[in-house]
Amino acid sequence: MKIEVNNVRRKLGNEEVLKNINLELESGKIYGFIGRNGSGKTMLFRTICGFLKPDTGYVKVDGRDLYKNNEFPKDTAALLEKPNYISDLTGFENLKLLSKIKNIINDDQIMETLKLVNLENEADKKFKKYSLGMKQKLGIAGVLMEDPKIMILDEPFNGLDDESAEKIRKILLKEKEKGKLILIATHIKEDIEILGDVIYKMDKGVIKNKDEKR
Amino acid sequence: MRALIKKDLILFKNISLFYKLLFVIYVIMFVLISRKSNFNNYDIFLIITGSFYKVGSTLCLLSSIIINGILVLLTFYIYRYDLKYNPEFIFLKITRKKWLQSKYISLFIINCLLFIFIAFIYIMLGNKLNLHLGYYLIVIIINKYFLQILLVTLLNHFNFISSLIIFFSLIISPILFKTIILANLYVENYIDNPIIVTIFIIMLIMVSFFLN
Repeated sequence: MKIEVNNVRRKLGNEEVLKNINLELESGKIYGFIGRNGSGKTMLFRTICGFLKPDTGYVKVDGRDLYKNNEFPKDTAALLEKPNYISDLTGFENLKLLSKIKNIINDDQIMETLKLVNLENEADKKFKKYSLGMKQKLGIAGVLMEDPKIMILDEPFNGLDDESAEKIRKILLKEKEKGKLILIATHIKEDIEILGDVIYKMDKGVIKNKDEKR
Repeated sequence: MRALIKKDLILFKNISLFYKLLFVIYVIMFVLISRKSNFNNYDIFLIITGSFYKVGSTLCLLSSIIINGILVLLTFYIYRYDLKYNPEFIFLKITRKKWLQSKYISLFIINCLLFIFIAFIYIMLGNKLNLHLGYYLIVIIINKYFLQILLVTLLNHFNFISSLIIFFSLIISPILFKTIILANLYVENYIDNPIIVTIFIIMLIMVSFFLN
């Protein structure tokens, strides 16, 4: 899988939130995006997911121009904001409902994913009773459950305690070894330094810096 | 697609009990008031479904606004939920076309449930629902469903504010022809100069295109 972002610019109101962004991202790597709040990380992720049409430039996923073909990237899962599931359903029921859209996994696989993020004991608890950290873990489980080739995670460690954050880091490293293309945005430097193979620093809609691990 | 329809129905089911109670109170109140105002059996049923107009009747106008208002709000709620909360959970799994189709089906089912519920309360209050009223019920459901389809289609093509402007412009456009085309939202008694209304609607639509 390959993501190409070419010369992407996007204005929202009077503010240019993305300024001439050029990226080439490949499978088997974790790409970290770091920057202050409002630096354009989320906007970039929304553009890559097909939710924010660039004013100029293009985004290609596996050679297909998302906005020319008016489509969303295939085999991709994302968590772009605070996970918001149906509050009166349990965590398991919420994931099951979403999994039925594609219908490629069964109940056991959903349960496996919940175990992976240490939510197996809370699977039958209603979403409205989940803590912030549990909600975040359920959001990550939602991304992982269908084994997508591209994972896009915006601030995935929000609300997680150290132990859970460490667990999620290990999961993401395993996923990388399986050949997944993973994009992570965060404003916490330590998170991304451990995980990222390539780290982009963003500020005011511009990629200021690119660090590559050897 | 079935999962999305199920999701929408769950959202409909999970609407706060407070709003559900308000709705029941609305139906009961309007049935009782209509009875006192000497409307016949047919008229009462049409009034509580927001589909009856009598010149100068505030009751008819109010019921029409309430029912159509509820349908518009329900359509917004069902349509915008997926877009507002984590759209990535839905749109990375299904094409927009299929998602839209699921909305059309969900809204039809919700519409049926809503009007069958109204009919149920109507019967519980001692009225009879005969074959003729049953036929009316089907016509009303289809009529109101067109209103929702129109709104969803507009929301899909235009931004929120533009959709609203075009939608309400089209709804009040029957005034131009002194007839009922859409939505049974009868306001002809209140604005009755076709030229002013025409200019007003054209201006609104131009503004909405500009805003889009």
